[in-house]
Amino acid sequence: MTIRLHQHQRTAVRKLRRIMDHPNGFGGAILGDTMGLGKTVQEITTCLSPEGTSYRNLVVAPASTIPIWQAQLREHFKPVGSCYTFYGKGRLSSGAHIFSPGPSTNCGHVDVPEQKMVR
Amino acid sequence: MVTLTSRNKKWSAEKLQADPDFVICTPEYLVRQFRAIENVKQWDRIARLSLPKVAGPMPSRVEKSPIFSDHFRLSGFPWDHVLVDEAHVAKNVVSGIHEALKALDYRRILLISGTFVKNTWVDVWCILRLMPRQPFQSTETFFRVFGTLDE
Repeated sequence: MTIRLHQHQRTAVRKLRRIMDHPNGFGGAILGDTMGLGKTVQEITTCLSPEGTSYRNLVVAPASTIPIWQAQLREHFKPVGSCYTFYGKGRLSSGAHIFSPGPSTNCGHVDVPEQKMVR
Repeated sequence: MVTLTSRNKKWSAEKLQADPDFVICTPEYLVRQFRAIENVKQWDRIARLSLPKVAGPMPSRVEKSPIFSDHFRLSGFPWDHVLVDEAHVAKNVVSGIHEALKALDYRRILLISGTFVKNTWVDVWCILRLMPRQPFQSTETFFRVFGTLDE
């Protein structure tokens, strides 16, 4: 990762990982920060594995926040990693089609630079 | 992996889906894919039980649904993380997005929202329901712990 997290973000990432990986836990966590505290970066960092093996992550985000996600992924995580974006109906596709979409399926493709965690 | 030659293309296409680190989609897309799969399943159920005439023709606009693909489930590739941004969109138990998220096969879920309790405190229960291992067995349990049931 090419950015340095703030203190509160580091704490959150540590806690989220502990909550989600707890054997007696529920396999999930809720992050309820207010706006502007960097929720997206915390989420992305939480979902990267410390060992460098790749996880498969699905992001469900409203259409208005998708450009933010793509920008964050592209900006902060270098190099590798790929990212596919599927839009809802009525959006123009951007980039190469993957998975031979049906007539009403639009999907765009964004290359995200390789991810690498540097602590 | 043992498969028919004609299916090779499909397998390789779905394997492509296994590669990306991040897949981003909108709730609307997820719901639409879920509905498409459900329609086919329902048609299949009716066609098995009754004469083909009753079931009618198979839904023609079958969309390729990489996210809900059975191939992942059968080959043991659940999603490692599902991140739900603005998780309050799934606060309604009977809404399409809630059902679609529940139908996904995932190991861990991370719910993010600035406004969790949007209307009533019961919204919290609806969001907690999305966790793979649920904290509460039923709605009644949740009500018993956090509220009072009026007659």
